[in-house]
Amino acid sequence: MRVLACYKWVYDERDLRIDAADLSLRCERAARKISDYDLNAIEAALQVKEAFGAEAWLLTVGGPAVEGSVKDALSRGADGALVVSDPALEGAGPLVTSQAIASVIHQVQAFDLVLFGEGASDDFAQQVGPRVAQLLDLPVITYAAELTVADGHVRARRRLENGDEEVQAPLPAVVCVTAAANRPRIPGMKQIIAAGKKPVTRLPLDSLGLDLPALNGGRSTAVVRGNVQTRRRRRVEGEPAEAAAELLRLLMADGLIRQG
Amino acid sequence: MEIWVFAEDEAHLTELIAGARRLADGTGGTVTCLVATPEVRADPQTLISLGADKVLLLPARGEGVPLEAYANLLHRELQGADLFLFGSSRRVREIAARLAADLGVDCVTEAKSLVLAADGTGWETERMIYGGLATARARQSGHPVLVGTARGTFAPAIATDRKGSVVQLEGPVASQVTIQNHHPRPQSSANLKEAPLVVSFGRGVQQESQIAIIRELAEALGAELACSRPIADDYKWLPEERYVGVTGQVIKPDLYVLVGCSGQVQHMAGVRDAGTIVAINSDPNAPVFEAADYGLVGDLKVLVPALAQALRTHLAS
Repeated sequence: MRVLACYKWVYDERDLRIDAADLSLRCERAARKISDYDLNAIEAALQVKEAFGAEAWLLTVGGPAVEGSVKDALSRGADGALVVSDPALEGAGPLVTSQAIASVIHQVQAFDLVLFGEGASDDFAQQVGPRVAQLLDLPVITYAAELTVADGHVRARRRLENGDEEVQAPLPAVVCVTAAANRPRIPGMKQIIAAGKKPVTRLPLDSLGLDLPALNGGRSTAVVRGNVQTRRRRRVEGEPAEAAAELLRLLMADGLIRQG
Repeated sequence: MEIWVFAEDEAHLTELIAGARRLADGTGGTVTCLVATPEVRADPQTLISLGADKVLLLPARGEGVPLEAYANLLHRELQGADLFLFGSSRRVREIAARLAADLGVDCVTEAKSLVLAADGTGWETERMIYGGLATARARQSGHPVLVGTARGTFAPAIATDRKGSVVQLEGPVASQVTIQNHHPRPQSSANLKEAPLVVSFGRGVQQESQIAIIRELAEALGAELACSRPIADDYKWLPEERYVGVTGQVIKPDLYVLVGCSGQVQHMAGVRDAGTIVAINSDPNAPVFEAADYGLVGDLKVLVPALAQALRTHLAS
C-alpha cells in the first residue's frame, strides 16, 4: 500500500506585518512553514504507514521557495518526496495547484490513499483536496476527524456543522483531515539528519501538461490589504482586586454590565 | 444574467436568494434556486415569493447517499449559469470545489462581499486570508463564476407576489462515499453562537481542574464558556463545538473575555467582530493584548477569581 500526503509551504502568519502607510501586507521577513493542518495530513500518512507497513510519500507544488520545505517535511517520517517547484507556481490558487497535483498523481499512479489538510493556513480556500479527487475521479472524504483503513476501504468520522458522520469509501480515495485527527509528531535530531538521505523526485512543471495561461485567465491578481486592528489596547493595572474593580467600571461605562 | 443559488439549510438559502435577486435585478437577470430535500423543506412557492424565478428540485437520494453526491449531477445543470452562488456549510463547500474542478474554473469560498464589476463583465469578491490578518479582493470572470459567501453577507429576503416555475430534476444520484452512521450534535453550540457574553480560555489554563475558576467567572457574568482549539481538539476538556477560531466557531458577542490565550490569528479570527475584547494573560508581551480592548497582566489563578468576586459583589448590591 502507498499513501501520499500533500502539503503547502506558506508564510508563517506570525511574521507578517501590515504597512501602516498603505496597508500592504509585508512578507519579506516572514519565515515559511508547512501549513498547520497539512501537518495533520502528514501525521495521518505516517500512522497508516506504521499500521500497514505502507510506503508514505509527500508532495508539494509551488514557487522556488518550496525547495526549502523538503527536509523539514521529510524529517517527520515519510519515505520520500515529490516536488514541483517553478516560478510560475508562486502564489498559485486552488485551480492551478489542484491541476498540478492531479497531474503528478496521475503520472506516478500508485497511491491508494491521498491525504490533505482541511485548508491552507494562508488562504483557507479548502478546495484543493476535493478538486484533486474530482480531477482523478476518486471518492473524497472531507473534514475527517478520525480515519482508519481496512479491507480495501477507508472509514472516517467527519466533523460537520450539525454533528459527526461516519462514512466509508473504497480505495483509492482522497481524505482531507481536520486538526482533531491527530497530534503531529515533532521530529528529533536523528530524523532531521535522516531526512537529508531520503529520495526526492523533482518533476518539471512542463512535464505536467498544464495550460497555465488558460487556467490563469479567469481571475485577476488579488489585491491584498491588511486589516487594521481597531481595538483600544488599554492596559488595566493594579493589584488583582483593584484591576478587577477597574475593569468592572470600564465594562459598566461601556454598557456591557448592568449597573448594580 | 443567470444566477443559480444553492445552500444546505433553508436560512442560508433564502439569504442567498435575496442577494441573488438584488444582483439579478440590476442586470435584468434570473434567479434559479436549487433545492435538496430533506435538508430544505420550504414550499417552492415560498422560495419564489422570496425572489427565485425558478426552483429546481434535486432528485431524491437513496439511503446513505450524502448531499455531496449532487456534485456530479450539478456539473451538467450549471453549464448555462453565469454565477453559481453557494452557501458556507462544509458539505456545500466540498460540492462547489468539485464542481469548479469539473468546470475548470476558479471558485471563491467564504467571501464576505460580492458585487458585479463596474463594467459588468465580471464579479468582485472580498475574503479574509491569514486568519483575518488581511483581506484579498479579486475579480473573477470565468464562466460560470463560483462564489460562496459567509452567512450574513446579504440582507434577508422580503416576500413579494412574484410568480415562477418549479421543475423536478430526475436522474440517479450515486456516491462511492456512503454514510454509515450519523451522530447529531447537542444544541449547546447554538447557545454559544447567540450569546452576548462569552468567557473563553486557552492553554494558559494548565490543568483541567483550573477550568473551575473560568467557569465561576462565566457564571458570575452570566456568560457562555468557550475555548481555543487545542483545549478542545488536543486536551478534549471542552466539546469540539465550544472552540472559537478559523476552523471552529466564528462568533460576535458583545463582550469576549479571553483568559490564558496567546491570541494567535487563527483564534482571533473567530472573534474579529466581537464588540469588546478583554484579555487576561501572564505574559505582558502576548500578542493577544494587541487585539484586545482591555488587557490585564497577571496570574489567571488570582485575577480570574478576583474578577468573579468583584462581579458577584457588584451584581448583588
